[in-house]
Amino acid sequence: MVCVELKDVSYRYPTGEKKALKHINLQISKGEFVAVIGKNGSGKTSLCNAIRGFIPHFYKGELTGEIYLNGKNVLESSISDLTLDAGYVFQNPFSQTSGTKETVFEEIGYGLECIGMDRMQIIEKVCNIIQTLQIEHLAYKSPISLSGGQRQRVSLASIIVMEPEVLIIDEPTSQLDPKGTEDVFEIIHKLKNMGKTVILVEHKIDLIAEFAERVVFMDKGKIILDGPAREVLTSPILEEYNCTMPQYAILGREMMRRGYPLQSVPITLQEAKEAVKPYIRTEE
Amino acid sequence: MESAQEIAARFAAKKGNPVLDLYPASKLMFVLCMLVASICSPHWCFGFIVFIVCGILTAFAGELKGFLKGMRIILILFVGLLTVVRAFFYTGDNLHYFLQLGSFHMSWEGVAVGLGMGSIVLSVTSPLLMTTKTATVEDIVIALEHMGLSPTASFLVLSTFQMVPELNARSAVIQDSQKSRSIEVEGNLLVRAKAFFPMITPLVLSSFASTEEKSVALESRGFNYKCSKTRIRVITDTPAQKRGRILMGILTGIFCVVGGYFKWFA
Repeated sequence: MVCVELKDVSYRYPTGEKKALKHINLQISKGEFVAVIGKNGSGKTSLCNAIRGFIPHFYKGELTGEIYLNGKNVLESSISDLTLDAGYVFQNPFSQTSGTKETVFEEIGYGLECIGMDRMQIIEKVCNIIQTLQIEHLAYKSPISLSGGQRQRVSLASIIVMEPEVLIIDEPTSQLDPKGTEDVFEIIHKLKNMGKTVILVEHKIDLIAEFAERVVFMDKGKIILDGPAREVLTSPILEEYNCTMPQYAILGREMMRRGYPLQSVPITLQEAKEAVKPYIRTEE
Repeated sequence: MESAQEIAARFAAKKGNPVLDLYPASKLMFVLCMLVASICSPHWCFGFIVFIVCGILTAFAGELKGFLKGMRIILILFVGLLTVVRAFFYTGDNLHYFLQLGSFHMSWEGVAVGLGMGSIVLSVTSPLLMTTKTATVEDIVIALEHMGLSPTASFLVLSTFQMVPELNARSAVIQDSQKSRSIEVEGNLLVRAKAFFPMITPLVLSSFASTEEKSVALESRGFNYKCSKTRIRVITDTPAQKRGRILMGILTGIFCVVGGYFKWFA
């Protein structure tokens, strides 16, 4: 079942000279984990904004084409109407907090308060999400006192708790350390396993290779590549656009170039281990 | 992590202290009544009695230290200074002077007028400070919401209060970055005055920039979702407190009629 659909979408920001999105055609099925990659300014965030309805309802400008989210025409629905259809985790966690709550617990529950959920239900849901994200130690802290990384987790929690059908996550690990980054990817993976549709904008290509099942590569507002993670992340087209490949793919391609007959180019650590194994001499 | 029931109790604002657990609207009603009563009070000692009563109530809530710290400035600046100034510069017929400093005379009538003005200041500030020390801003706003304040207005009030520490944190970052660019931001008054614009401009501009993203983030979390909003934090009013507020209003009305008669007509 298709839950996100863009038909020939083009968009220009009100003050922009060039189009931020050019003739985008994209279909995302329910439960898919799609990573959007590309250089800065390639249109990744604009694509997410269009799917969530921020374009054209908040960011005005010139939009053509059709966008559907869970069967709803995004252009005809307000941002609030789509609250339960799609959650959006922003790149800057400092903008995500409401700025009205005294504790992280209340901050996470803010969205549920806004949609009028029963108080006890909110408390139970917030408890669950706090435990899932392992942020119990932050629960009664003031959101203002949190570091960037802690805020990023709280932002993620505050969106996940609303249980939207589609989760749009824009660089959720920009302020996290390597361990925190892996933890967030584990959480996103769990969400995918729960049947959620995840659209993730991220630069950490190795983690995308590890977790995403489909990758969309964008450049100058256009979708250049769209397909299974392995196909896209090992495509020579990425190099043409100066986009980095996963380090294991680089290793695999180098091995193939030097004559090692690998069955396929590895993109994850596990695949790389398997690929390299026959060529490692052990003392045994 | 505590159980959902325990968390619900934590956010139910019941702390087992009669003053802390008083419904914020009752405290606001007290502020309003004291303001009106102080205007109609015929004697300057009214404000001081209110100050003492508020001090006792705040002590009962365990917040006396903070209360006195806040009131210290008001007592010295507004009450003390106002009384001294009025005592020296009050003009009128048949004044009774009790002190002379050069060409300035201090009169008992001036002291009484100064204390009367200070009394009004005390009558308003003491209950107001007591309210802020014994209730959180969010509790007060929830009470106002129960009285009909719109969620948008309550959001504005709450975010304004929270904006101060956010702006402080941001200005500290800007100050550090300006320092790293060799802009002097510390030193005498002139140096600080010079640093004002390099500090304030990025602060204002960054605030504007983040407002756009913040508003879209709020919108995506259902800020304008059409339904009646709920809250994790709850505060409850009681019939006894409702009756208390009505009684407070009636008593203030009587006090104003009697006090006003003695003040302006007797």
